[in-house]
Amino acid sequence: MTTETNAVAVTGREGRVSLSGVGKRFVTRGRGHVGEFQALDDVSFAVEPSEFVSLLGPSGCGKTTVLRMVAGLLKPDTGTVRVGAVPVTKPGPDRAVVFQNAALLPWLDVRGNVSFGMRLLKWPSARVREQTRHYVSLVGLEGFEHHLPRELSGGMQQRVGLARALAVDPQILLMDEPFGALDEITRRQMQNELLRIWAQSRKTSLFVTHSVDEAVILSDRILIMGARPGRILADIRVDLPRPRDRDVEASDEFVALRQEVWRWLDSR
Amino acid sequence: MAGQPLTVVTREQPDAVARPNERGRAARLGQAAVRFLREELLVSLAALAVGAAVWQLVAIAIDAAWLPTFWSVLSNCHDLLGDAKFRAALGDSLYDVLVGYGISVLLGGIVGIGMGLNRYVDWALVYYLDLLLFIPPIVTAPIFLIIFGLSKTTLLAVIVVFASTVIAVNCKAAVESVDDSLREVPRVFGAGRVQTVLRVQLRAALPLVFTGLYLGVGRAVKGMIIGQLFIAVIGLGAYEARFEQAFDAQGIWSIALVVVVAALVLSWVVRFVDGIVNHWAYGGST
Repeated sequence: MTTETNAVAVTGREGRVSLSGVGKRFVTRGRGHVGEFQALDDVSFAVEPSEFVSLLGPSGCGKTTVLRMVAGLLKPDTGTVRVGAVPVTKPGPDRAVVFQNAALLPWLDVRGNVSFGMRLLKWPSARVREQTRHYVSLVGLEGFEHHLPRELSGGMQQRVGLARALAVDPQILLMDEPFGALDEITRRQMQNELLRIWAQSRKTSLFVTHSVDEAVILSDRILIMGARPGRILADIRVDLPRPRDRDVEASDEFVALRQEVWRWLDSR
Repeated sequence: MAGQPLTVVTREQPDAVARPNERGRAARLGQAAVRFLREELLVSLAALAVGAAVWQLVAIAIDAAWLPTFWSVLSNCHDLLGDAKFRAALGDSLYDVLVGYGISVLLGGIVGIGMGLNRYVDWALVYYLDLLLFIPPIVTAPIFLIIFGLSKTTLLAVIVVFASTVIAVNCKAAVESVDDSLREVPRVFGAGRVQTVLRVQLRAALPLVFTGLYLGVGRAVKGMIIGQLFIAVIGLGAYEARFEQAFDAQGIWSIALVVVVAALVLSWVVRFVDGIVNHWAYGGST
C-alpha cells in the first residue's frame, strides 16, 4: 500500500492539484539575530479529481504551509503548485478553504456567513438564497439561520465554515485541521458529517490533520510528512470501501492501515 | 437488568447550544437598545443618584463655603437655565463641541485608519500622533490663539487636536488588531485589498473604533471648556471665568454640573449607537 512519492507530471485535468519540487523558507527574527528556517523541501505530490487526500504529520512539519500554498495565500520559493495546468499565483474561488478556527465573520449570522463568498463573487440574489438554503440544510443547521457565531458551539461553527466553503461550488476543498479544536465526541460527529457531505459532492479535497484515525476514516490517500525540513515521507493508499461509516473502524483493513501509518510516524 | 427501569435517552440536534428560533435583524437591534437602557442608562443614573446623595450629605456635614449642597447647585442650575443668555451660551458651547467632535471623528478616523492600513503612513505620522496625544490643550491653545486670534476657529482647533488624537490612536489599533484569519476569508474567495478592507477589516475594527469615539467625546468636552476658559469671552467658559473671578462657588459648581450632564448625554449617545452598530460584539450567547 505504501509508495514513496515522486514528482508528478502536470496534466490539464480540472480539479487536479499538483505540487512539484516545492520549497519554502521562512525568516525567523529573535533578539539580535535574523535566521532562516527551511519549512518545506522538495515537496511533490498530486491530488486527483474527486480524491480525498490527507496531510498527516507532527506539529511544525509544514502541513498548513502546503495547504496555504495550494490556496494561493503563500507563494513557494522553489517549485510550482498547479491546479489543472494553471500555476497557482493567488487565491481564487476555485479553491475554498475551511479554516482551523472556522474564521466566521462575527457580525454576520449563519445565513450571512454561508452566503458571504457568493456575495463577494456577485452571484445573482436568487441563486445566493437558494444555495444558502441548500448548504445550511446540508450541514444540519436549519433553524439556526439567524444565529450569530458567538451563539453557536464549536462544532456548529465549523459546519458553517464548511457550508461557506462548499456554497461557492469550488473545484477543490482545502481543510486546515477543521476539527482540531473540537472535543472528541463532537469531532467524531463532524467526521461523520464530512463523510456524508463529501459522498454527495465528491470534491477534490486536501485535508490537514494531526489525527491518524481521522485521516484513515476520511481519506483515499494519506500523505505522511516529516519535519525539519517538511517533506513527504510516504503516500499511503486507503482502499476502504465507500460510502464509509463507523463500522469500518472494526475491520482488519482499518486496523492494518492505522498500524502502517503509525509505523511511519514512529520511525521518524 | 430485568425489572429495572430503562434509561430514557432523548435525541437532540448534535452539539447544539442554542434553541433554534427565528430572529431577524430588527429583533437584535431591539435587544441591543433594551440592553443599553438596562446596563448603561439605568446603572449610570443609579450611580449618579448615589453620588449626588453623598455630595449632599458631605456638603451639609462640613458646611464649607467652597462646597454648596447638591440641591442648592441644582436650584442654581435651574435659575441659570431660565436665563436666555445662559441658554444661548450653553447652546453655543454644545454646538462647538458637536462641530469640533465631528471634525475630530473625520480627521482622527482617516488618519488612524490610514496608519493602521499602511505602514508608510504609520511611520510618517506615528511620532506626531504621540506628541499631540501627550501635549495638554493648555499648551496648544496659545499657539492657536496666535494663529487664529480670539475666534471660534481657535476653540475648534483646540477641540479637534485634543479629541482627534485619541480617536486616531484607537482607529489605528482597531484596524491593526483584526485577526489574520478573518482578513484571509475574503481573500480565499478572490477578493482584492480594497474589498478585504471594506468588507471585513473595517467592519471587524468597529467595536474598538467606537471605544475611541467614546473617549473622544470626553476629550471634545474637555477641549471645549479649556478653549473657552482660555479665550474667556464666549460660551460656558465665559460664565466659568466670571464665577471664578467672583469666588462664586455655587456658580462654578453649577457650570461643572451642566458640563458633566452634557458630557454624559453625549457619551450615552455614542454608547447607544455603539450598542446598535456593534450588537454582535456585546452580550453573551442566548
